[in-house]
Amino acid sequence: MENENKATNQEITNSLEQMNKGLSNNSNQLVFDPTTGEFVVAKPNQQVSPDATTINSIAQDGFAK
Amino acid sequence: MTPQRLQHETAILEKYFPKKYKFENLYLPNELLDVGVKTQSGKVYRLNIRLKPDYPNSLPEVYVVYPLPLRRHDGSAIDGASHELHTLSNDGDKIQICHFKPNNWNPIQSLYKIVLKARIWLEAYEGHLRTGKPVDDYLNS
Repeated sequence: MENENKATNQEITNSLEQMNKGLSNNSNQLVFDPTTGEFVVAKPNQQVSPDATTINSIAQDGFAK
Repeated sequence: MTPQRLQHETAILEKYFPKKYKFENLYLPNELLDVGVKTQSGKVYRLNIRLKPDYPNSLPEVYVVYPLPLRRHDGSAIDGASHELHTLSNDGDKIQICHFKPNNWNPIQSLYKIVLKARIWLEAYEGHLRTGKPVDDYLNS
């Protein structure tokens, strides 16, 4: 069954770009859902898997270059 | 890495990436984690995470080993270190990509977190392929 909360690449990169520019309002969280192996967009107050990992904080940690 | 650390890493990986990883050359100087990941678009990549003998005290290196060559938006092959693409090297067999900043790495982190960092890099890379924007536009430096 298709996961209706599955994020598209465009949604993810838009979110990453906003974070990178410091414009993220954190109203929607990107999370990794291990039950599907996919990134999903979690709206405020939305129930997510208790095993889900928030991607925002990992991305905001920064990347070496 | 020590057997105790291997047990710890395996427990996490089995929870989050069941049956998508394998360790190779365990307890040897060229120890590595081979992991298959699928991006949101459905494309499949294979990563090699190379561990140094003092792992987890040192930061592992992450390589894309499939598919190769990785190409830029303009179709040219990624041929080495690039600030714009957050890549470090390309020896023909693999492309080293950036992940944790050394200052943010510590033994409390895990290989799972490194795989997630690489997944984010892959989404940024596919964003580059789709739009032509540099990976650097998507990744906080």
